[in-house]
Amino acid sequence: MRNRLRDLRHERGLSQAELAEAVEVSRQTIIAMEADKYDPSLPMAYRLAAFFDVAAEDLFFNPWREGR
Amino acid sequence: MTTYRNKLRIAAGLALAAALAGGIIGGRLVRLGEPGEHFWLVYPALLAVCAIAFAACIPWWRKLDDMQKAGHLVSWYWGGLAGALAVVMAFVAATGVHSDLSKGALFTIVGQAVAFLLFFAGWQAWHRGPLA
Repeated sequence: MRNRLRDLRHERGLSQAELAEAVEVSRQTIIAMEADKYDPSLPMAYRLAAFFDVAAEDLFFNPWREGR
Repeated sequence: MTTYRNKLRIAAGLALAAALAGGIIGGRLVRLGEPGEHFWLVYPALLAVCAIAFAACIPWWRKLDDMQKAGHLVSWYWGGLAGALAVVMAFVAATGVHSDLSKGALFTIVGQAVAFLLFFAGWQAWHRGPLA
């Protein structure tokens, strides 16, 4: 699932390890999500959206709504 | 403050220590007498040891994130099953279907299948919602 995770993380000046620690997931999970290799669960998506203070769909693009 | 990474390490250490302790205690239990001599004492005791070891793994499992859990579930389901079947096939090919070795391995697979079906039924029942 395409997302803005890397952009938002860079905006905050965080490393992947620091973001992983902040939201209590593994660094590998952050890397996989940023690389579009893993789609997070809804709770994890909401948790990350809350951390960056954005709507979940502004962080993880809804592939069924894109192009509308 | 303990970091998430350290919490996960501590939980994993506890799970590993419990598994090792369970193995040692289980090993002692099966040597209490001749094989099968105290079956109704040893078997429940072994199950209790397994249950305690399982319980000790719960904190580690709860601390894993979604992707880590998915990795373990997929690897255990497909990798574990493939490995078990490969060993069973090797036993069957080497010693025949009716050897004690093959029978033991086949019973293990049957136990896995039955437990899988029970857990899957429980999982489905747990996730069932009211019909609208």
